[in-house]
Amino acid sequence: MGSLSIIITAVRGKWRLADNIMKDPNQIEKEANAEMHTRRIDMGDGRYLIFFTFGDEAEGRTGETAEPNDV
Amino acid sequence: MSELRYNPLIGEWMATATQRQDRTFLPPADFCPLCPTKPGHFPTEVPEADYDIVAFENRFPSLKTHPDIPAVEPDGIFDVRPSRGVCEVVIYTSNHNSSLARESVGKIHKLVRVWRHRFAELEALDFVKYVFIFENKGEAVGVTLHHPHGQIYAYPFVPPLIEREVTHSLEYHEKTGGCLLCDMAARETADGRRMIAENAGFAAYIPFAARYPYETHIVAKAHRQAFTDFSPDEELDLARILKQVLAAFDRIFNMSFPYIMSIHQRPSDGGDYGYYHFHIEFYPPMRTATKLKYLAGSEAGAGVYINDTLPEVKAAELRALVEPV
Repeated sequence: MGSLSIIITAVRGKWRLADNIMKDPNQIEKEANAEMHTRRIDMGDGRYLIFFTFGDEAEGRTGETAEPNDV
Repeated sequence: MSELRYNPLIGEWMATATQRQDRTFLPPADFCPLCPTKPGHFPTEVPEADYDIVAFENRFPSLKTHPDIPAVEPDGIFDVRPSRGVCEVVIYTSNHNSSLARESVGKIHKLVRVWRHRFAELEALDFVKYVFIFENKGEAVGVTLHHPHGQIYAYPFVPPLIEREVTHSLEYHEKTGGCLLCDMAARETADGRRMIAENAGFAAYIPFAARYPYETHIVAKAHRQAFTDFSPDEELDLARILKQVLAAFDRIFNMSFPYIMSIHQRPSDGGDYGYYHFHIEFYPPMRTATKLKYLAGSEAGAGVYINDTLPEVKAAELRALVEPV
């Protein structure tokens, strides 16, 4: 019974953890003020694509790590 | 071939888009066209090894900047016109297995700013009369690509649902001098039974006349018509409440919850829509963990929705699942 309880708690904890990895509010405020940059390219078939980057990310890697997916 | 055809019986335009029959349909993750292009792998729609947010013209659009000549001629009863417009795809994460619910508040806030950018740029095109931003999520609502993404349709006319909202908002404004949705949101906030979450800038609730068990509306508290009216604080408040609502959705049945997200802003046809009010509507198709709400005879044939649940009960259920952000 104790093991089962631990397993259930762990599974629920994983779900909750995935949903609740929150950034520091100060970090969010800093990002909120980050300047947005755009870079438009021609896709070669008449269509366009626009890259959006923010603040310091504009000079380097642009991706942001999402929460782990365990759905 | 794509074109717009008018139905005079109900006064609505519809679009044909025959090329969409051949669009990519639920490809395996290794061949996802929305993932970044990895070195040595096949080229996807995004020709870089990583990205934050990208927007691009849909390869299989229903509306085109340079549309086809219609296949048939108008004849006085049957009107037809080129399907001129823009269809964009917005990818807000390079993580194939993520979802908007699982992205951080900071990332959702970036997306809100991108929505604002795309709204402003697309509505400036002279042939665009309405910019519709939306997301279809989950196979239950018919997605053809699993990679999380939203879409934008820039229509050459005001869509019928928006037109009805505009008409009723104007009637209310002329009768009372007020804003219909401001007053509806204030009533919901004061009543509380259908509320899900709120912050300084936005209220989220299941509306009084919800058509789906978990239909949810997010409404700006201040009188706003479009993304371009929001202050920086309001943009962040919108991101926060989106995170709260979407995370609560996923907790209902401990699953990645399918939905249609529909962002309603004022038209972009040059009219004065000061009486209209910005809001977001979610139509989740789930009514239980294993049962879907289908649009059947009454809904599809007569336009009368039948909801098997009480909004007050479902709102209490969702409200209990909301966590602070």
